Amino acid sequence: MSRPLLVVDDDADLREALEEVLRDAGHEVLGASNGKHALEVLGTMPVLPGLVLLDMMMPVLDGGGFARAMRQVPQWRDIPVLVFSASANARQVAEEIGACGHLRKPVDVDTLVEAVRRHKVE
Amino acid sequence: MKPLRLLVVEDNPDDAALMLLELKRNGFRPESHRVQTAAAMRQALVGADFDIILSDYSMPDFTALQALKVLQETGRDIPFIVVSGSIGEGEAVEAMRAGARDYFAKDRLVRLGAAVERELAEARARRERARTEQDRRMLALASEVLAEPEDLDERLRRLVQLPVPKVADWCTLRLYEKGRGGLRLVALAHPDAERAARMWEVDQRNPLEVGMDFGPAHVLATGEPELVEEVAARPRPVTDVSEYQEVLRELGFRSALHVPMRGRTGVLGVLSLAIDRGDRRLGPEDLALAQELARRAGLVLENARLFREVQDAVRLRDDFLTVAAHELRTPLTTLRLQLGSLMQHARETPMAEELETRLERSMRQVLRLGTLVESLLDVSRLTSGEPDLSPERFDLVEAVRAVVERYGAEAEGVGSELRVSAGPELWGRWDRARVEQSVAALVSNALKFGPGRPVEVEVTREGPMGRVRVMDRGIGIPEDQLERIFERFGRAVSSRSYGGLGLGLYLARRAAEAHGGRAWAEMREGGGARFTLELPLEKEERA
Repeated sequence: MSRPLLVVDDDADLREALEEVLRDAGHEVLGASNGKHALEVLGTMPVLPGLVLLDMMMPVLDGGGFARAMRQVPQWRDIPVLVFSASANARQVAEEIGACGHLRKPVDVDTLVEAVRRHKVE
Repeated sequence: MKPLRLLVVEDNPDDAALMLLELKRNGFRPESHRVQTAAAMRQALVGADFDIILSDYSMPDFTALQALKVLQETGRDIPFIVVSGSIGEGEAVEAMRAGARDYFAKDRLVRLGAAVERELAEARARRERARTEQDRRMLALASEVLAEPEDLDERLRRLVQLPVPKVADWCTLRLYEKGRGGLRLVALAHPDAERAARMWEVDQRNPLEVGMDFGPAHVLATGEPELVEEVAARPRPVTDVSEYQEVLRELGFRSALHVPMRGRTGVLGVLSLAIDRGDRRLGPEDLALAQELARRAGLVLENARLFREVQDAVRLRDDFLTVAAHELRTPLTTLRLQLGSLMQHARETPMAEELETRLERSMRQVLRLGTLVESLLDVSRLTSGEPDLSPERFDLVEAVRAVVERYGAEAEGVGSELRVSAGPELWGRWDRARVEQSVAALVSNALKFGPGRPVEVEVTREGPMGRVRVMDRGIGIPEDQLERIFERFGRAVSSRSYGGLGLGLYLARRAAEAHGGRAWAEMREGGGARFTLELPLEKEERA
């Protein structure tokens, strides 16, 4: 069975748009509105996600905080994270938190789908 | 009558009286002190200042030559004249060699008055020369100290050491701090650590309040220097705090001066000198020196302040840009994804052709909005400093083809044929987003200014550089505008007829230069313009 995707972004419209596009591309997608929420969602998932698409600038717990907390949990440690950020230094941020890659906002459908396909573990 | 502080080295009181008589006859009012041993002479020189020394050549327990040695040990420059009962040519020469300024026989004192007059004038001239030289050296040192790479407080601490003890016993530097409501001592020098510590402690507890009528706080308010040659003659408080007044009384300042340190926006602080022992008093030449020291310190303080302000402004701007980037890019991302996904659906399910066209038009506008947002963010970041590059390895030919493809619809829309001609792959390490943005700016310009006419894009290798050329048959660029169009907001045509922010070429050139390349424009024979972008290729590619 294919693993789901976890999309973490505080902007509800953007998160839903991401979910729709990725569902259209054939993925099962779960959403979370910030880092803390994402950790909670992770805890309830029967099958761990094959990739976390992670916004960096979020209230409550930001992307960096989420990545650090996630890596503390042994069974979550190896879940790949794809940084999805509006920041000009998304690449550097991705390196800092040990992400498998980065996408700069804004992005078009094809680039998004292709990046997810490339980084997701099945 | 001219006052004269006179030291007489003589065992015979009568002979000493004769000398005084002769000096009085010449218009002097001598105040004399007589010694006849080395010990007494040393003590006299430590206790007071003398204008001139008159010495017998040979005494029972002392000689003029020994007296000269005693004088030289003190390092003081006081004219020394030998007055002897029986002095021969040889002895006179010996005394002059040892440092005596002149010699007289006791029975021929007629010339003594004139000689003293001359010696006083020469000593004054020597002192002035020495003072000028000392000040010059001190100011040169001050400039050196202030230019050191240490932090500002450390430089100021070293600066106040310079005038102590040569010019004054105390040197202090106070800066005005709005938050603390007064002048705070930031640097202080005094040879006695205990006295220095008392001053420092009381000042840290009670910064000098602004609004006093005298002292540093007054100088801060007026910007005018203050010289108090005799503190005893004008004992006015420089602070209202009784604890502070008490400490100042105990320290016993005898002479003091305060000068303002000016910055561009007013007085930044006050430099002070003070004397707390001996007969020495501060005078106009000390004031001039202090003002010059303060002027140099003021320049450095001003620079430090400006530097801090610039740093703060840059930090503020960067914070703003980070938030602005996030806020602007997030809705654009949503729009692009929504439209992109709708367009996919439109292709898969039958939909009115009209709807598909409208979706495409919406998408083009969203892309255009995205480009504008990126240009604006870039230009605000680029206004100062170099762009941050995130280089990655890619093929320039492929990147140019991708950009040109994106403009396919637009070219069709304006009726221009858009062609790419390129050789084999050209690899290098560049910031992909910026390179694509630059090429896009050139292509977009060509379509904008040459609608309905062909636009050719060429990708070639020129030695160590990869070269992208975009050529149009449009309205062309006047010779005198070829450089201006690369300036920020620069344009060769009226913004009424042709829109755009005027940032594309500016950003393209900045990006090219940040990569070690360049960008320029030329007129084309037969009309139109040719834009060239050159980027350095990776090393193996150059071979």
